[in-house]
Amino acid sequence: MIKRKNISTMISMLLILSFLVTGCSSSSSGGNSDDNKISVLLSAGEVGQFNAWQARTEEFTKETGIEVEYIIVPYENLLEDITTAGISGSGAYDVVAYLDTMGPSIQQFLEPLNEYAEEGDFQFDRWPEAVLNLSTYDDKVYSLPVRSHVQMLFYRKDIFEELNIESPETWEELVSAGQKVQDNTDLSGIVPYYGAGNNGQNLYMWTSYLWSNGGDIFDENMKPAFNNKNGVEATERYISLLDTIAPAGSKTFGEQDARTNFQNGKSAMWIGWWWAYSGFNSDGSALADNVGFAQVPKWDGKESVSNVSSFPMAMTKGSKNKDAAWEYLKWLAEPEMEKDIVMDTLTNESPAEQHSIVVTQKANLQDEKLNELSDNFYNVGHKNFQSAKTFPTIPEWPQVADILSTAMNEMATGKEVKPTLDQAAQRIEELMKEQGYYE
Amino acid sequence: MKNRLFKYFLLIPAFILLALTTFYPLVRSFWISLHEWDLKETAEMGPFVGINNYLSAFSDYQFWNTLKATLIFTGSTVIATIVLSILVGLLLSKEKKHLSFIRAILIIPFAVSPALIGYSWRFMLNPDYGLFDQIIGFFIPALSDVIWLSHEGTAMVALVSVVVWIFMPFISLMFISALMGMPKEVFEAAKVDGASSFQTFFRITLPMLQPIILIATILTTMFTLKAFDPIVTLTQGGPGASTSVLNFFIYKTGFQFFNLGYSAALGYILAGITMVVVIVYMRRLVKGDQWN
Repeated sequence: MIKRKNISTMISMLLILSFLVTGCSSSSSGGNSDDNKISVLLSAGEVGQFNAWQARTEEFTKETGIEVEYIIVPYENLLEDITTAGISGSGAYDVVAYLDTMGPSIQQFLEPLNEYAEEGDFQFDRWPEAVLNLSTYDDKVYSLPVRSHVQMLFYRKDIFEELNIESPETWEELVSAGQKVQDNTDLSGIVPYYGAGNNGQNLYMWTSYLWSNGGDIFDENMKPAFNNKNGVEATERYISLLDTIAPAGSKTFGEQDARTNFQNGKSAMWIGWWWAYSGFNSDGSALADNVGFAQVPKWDGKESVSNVSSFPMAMTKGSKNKDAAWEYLKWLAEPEMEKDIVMDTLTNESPAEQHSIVVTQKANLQDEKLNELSDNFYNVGHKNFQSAKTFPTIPEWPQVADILSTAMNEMATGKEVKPTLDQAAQRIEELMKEQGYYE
Repeated sequence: MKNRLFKYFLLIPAFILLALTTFYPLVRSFWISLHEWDLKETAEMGPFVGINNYLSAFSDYQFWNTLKATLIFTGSTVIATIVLSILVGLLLSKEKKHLSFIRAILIIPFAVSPALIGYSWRFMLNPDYGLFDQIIGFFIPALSDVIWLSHEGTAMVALVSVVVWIFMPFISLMFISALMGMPKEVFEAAKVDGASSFQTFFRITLPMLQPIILIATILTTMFTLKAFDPIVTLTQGGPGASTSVLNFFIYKTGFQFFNLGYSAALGYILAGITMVVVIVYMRRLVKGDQWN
């Protein structure tokens, strides 16, 4: 009796063990082996443009017979998911969306698109050079910048009209305008964001000061150049906003904090990504129809230089259905589709969750109808895109950005500009040396 | 004989589970720490470099900065948590009905997600519309202009306060149960002998609480060394890098800079520090036979 009991217990244990083992093993096949089905990884967060793509996917499936499965993950998990799928080579995703700063690390898991484009006569130059640069590594294009943003200056129309202030074109005019606002209202002139971390957000506005002043982050030999005369001058001017027209709290702000401050009517100007414009004008916003826009200011007698960021779409190296994935990418990049989504937004013909004002292709940026409906928003955006530069697309950028972002915050919270920039330059030079950039 | 083997057989599922979820990741991450592995370059682990990754830490200025921040953060948090928890324990260890309700809700901050707490406190300390910032400004006008997260000292104070606020309820409950379980006769005898409240606390209560203080210190030290969410959500390591603790630096090295070998080595250094602290405390416990 005892023996039988022991045997049945052992069988149960073996069964549990087998379940454990099979439960822990990962499927080696992964991905989609079906030629007519692809999986697309997007980030969550109610992005209107992503929702609009999903809503139109049925048309794509009708045209091509390719089914599309969308996998939505929180933004925080996006990099981890792409990396895990890339390392395992499972082909779990055929197409992925990613933030440009993730590019250097995940580029090894992405498929270069040049050959596909050449075969199908697909032109990359439909996008402004700056955003295309963010998708390019070693002269190969790895993604399509179908979602891209440029920095613009936003200001309160009502206050500027009331105080008879013109939208500032130079950094000097920006301070004068801000001071006039502060003298006559209880608002701050402008709300920058000097906060540390946040993936180097506090560097975007700084680079507009730096680049417009003829400075740069690296020179042609990849040696730090931001601590030269132009760099120090630009940085001092950027940090000195705290002494004149920026609220003290901006020392700790990230981009979102600063945007909220502007949206809550605490400041009269904000420099940030253009996608925020639709939020300022959304139903229920206190600033609806009351926000003006302009090019990012420049140094007197010099050119305005903005910064761009992109959230491109790429085909994965592990994809089992590369042809179908390319068809899908081409469909996303159709100029008509981009225009259609924005037209529906501007004319309020699409549901609110599909609203998007993102236009990335040069022809659409200059489109007469879109500009008429948007009060010339895209022409101004186009100018910003044309003059924009990008952060260096080097694998070491996250470390360089971390050093610079920390230095920027240190200067905003009281450290002297020149010695802090020199120290950051020294640390970056050591890092670049370690990585073999210099002989 | 067969029965003796059978009991070991029964342990196999648990062992496999532990091996897959604990031992394998531990051994694997240690193995990674002995290799160069830059995920930006390749998805394959690089060449074996021995203890080079560990040695690199000692010449890395960021490591020393974060170590200093870790010591300040951990030391302040542990001391504040233990002292305040004992005080809360003394207040709430009486056998009264309304106190049992307070004891029940005391655990709430410990149950809330640390990331959520970090974000909430970031909002509350916002100089424009932060509730806490306005309350402080109302009661202490001299502090109304302080931007809490913009100075090294005040940012650390804010961070420590938030982490103490998270851990204190749990540690307080440990002290409450210890205090409520103490024999009443000892305190009655002290009263009869004419001991003041002050003398009773320092001569009787505190020595009797010693084993709990030690365990609470071990737990709080481990919790604090592992704290990550409040730092990411509240200060992002700033201002500058003043609140960038070792755990946050490990995350940045691994998941922002993609230097997996170095990141794994830093992880083992943190584990080493934690183990040393725990061993020192445990030796004190065992040596003093405080369990009894």
